Amino acid sequence: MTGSFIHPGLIMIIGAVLIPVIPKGTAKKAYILLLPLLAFISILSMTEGTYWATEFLGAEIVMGRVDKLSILFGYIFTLAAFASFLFGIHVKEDGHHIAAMIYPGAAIGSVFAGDYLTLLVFWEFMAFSSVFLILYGKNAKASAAAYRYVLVHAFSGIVLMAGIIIHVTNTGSFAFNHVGVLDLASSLILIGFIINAAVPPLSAWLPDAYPEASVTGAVFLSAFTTKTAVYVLARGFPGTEILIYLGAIMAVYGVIYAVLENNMRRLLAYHIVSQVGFMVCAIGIGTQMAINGATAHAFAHILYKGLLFMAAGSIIYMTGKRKLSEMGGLYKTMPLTFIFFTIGAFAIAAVPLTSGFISKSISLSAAGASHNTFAWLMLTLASTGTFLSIALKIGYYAFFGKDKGLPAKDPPLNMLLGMAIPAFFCVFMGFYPQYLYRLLPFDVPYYPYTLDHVVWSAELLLLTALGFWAFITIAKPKPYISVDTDWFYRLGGRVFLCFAHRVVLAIDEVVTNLWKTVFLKLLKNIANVSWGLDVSIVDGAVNGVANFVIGLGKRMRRLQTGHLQHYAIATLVGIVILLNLIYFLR
Amino acid sequence: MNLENWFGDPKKIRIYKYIFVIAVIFFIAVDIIFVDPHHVYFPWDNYPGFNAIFGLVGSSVVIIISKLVISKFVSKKENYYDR
Repeated sequence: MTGSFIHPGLIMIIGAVLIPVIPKGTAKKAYILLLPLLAFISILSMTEGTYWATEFLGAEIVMGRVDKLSILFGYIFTLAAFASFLFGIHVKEDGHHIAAMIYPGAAIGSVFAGDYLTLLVFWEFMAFSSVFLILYGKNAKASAAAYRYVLVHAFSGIVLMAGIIIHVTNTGSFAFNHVGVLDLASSLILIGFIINAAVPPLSAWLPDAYPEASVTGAVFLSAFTTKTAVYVLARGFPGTEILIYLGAIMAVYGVIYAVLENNMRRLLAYHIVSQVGFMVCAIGIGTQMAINGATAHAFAHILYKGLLFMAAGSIIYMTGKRKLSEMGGLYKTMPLTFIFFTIGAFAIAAVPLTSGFISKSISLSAAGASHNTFAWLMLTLASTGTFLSIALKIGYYAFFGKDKGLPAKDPPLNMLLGMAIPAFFCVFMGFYPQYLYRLLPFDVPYYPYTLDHVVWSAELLLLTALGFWAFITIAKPKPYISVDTDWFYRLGGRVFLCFAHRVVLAIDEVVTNLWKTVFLKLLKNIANVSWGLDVSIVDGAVNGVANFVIGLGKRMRRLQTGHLQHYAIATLVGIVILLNLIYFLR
Repeated sequence: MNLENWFGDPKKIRIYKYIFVIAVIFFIAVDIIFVDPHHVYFPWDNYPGFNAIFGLVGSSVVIIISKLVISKFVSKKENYYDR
């Protein structure tokens, strides 16, 4: 317990409350940018250890577990928050800023939580602050999506809580550490985590909600919820085999949907699913190298995905268009946005000399080193699909393609600066990977720039471009939407009502008619018959039994004479009969 | 900033295509001649050009599966949920 610890998450959460009182204008903007900066400085000055540990209602509460893993996520969360606030500093509504401040604050709180109770509290804070960022999309679709979003996250919270309660009852400890075996409690906790990580089939909330959020809100959303889930999985469930397969499937699943998608931000949302799949898969592999890969990838991913959402948001902000089929030729009018987008797109596609190359490679090498053919093939297929659907598809159809002549220009300065920060890091980390590698939780040396590695990546990407070229007419975005597993809770209710209306009502009618015409008559007849039976047989039987008992009583009474000699004779006769019986039976 | 000098001129686009083809040939040649893999994790690590073929086939398969097969089941009109 050495060194000072000021909780960086609470700096942002408590600081958020004061946002409305700060005078409008420069002071407020400065204050908003200062909070994530203060949180960053607080993390910078931390030393590893356990802080803010207290007893609460008989449970050991640890609000500050500081080690390499939590520090790495703390750095990237505060950095992403700062860049996102710079991008969205022009937003007028205080409520938007407050929600956007509490949300990363809660994510940071979850990361530094050392026990389940603290984790759960921040987990719920995260869900219920982020929903406002969707509501600020300010239309009926956004409200409906926000409602579904909060339902899914309430469900994930309840599942997590159920798991925690069973765990605490069994073990008596709130401590959140590596979970060894999968029993009921840890399985429920795992399900709670993977809903937030958007693992299919529990992933549809993400591409449903994120594209409806406000322009800035989507940038925030892309960073925190899923990556907090990656953190808790890396902390609690490394080496859980099922995660290898879920992650590998998830990586390709996201890509397949992304290739279909026409809404630009929904396409990017599907790529969150795909990219988190890489991380989940690496966590499932669970070697030190793989965990390093997952955390490095999370770090790099937050930056380039935020950048891509900023670029997409800039297009929406300046043109009002969301669909790729309505865009084209934007590189002429929005050249800086195009350049920033290209940096982000190359980074997510793991082009050499970008952050994606030096981070994703670790996971792929870890899959190779564990000789997991399935994982390697799926992740490499997802890599080609990533380059295909982001760099090539969005790049071509939004910025080139048929010029739709949209009146547009590059967004305001603050948005450009917001994009410049992650763009800088995407390139910087590509050139100097050691700055990221130094932060990783395990000390495993890794060299991304070997000849075979660079040449193989270049081949993969170049020939992917050729494949896109060959099938460009098929790959063209079309104005359709794709149904996902959210169908079940979006239309499932409607189908149920339809079922109730058509089928249940019809059955009800048949049953009613049958009742009136057949059963009622039958019942009447049965009643008549039973009445007759009652009179003649049941009553008769009762009367008969009564008469018999009376007669028996009369006869019995005659036996009772009251004379002593009669009783003595009867006793004597009885004894003689008894003796004879005994004699004969001997 | 004007990028039209870079991407608006058909002559330059043709030059980019040549650069692309040269790059493909270059990297496959380097793979065949110089690459001696550090670790052979999978059997295909011994075949130069495997990643090139994987890129071409993989991207084609992703497009075809997604756009021609999966879309049959999941693609709906944009007002599907609003009816």
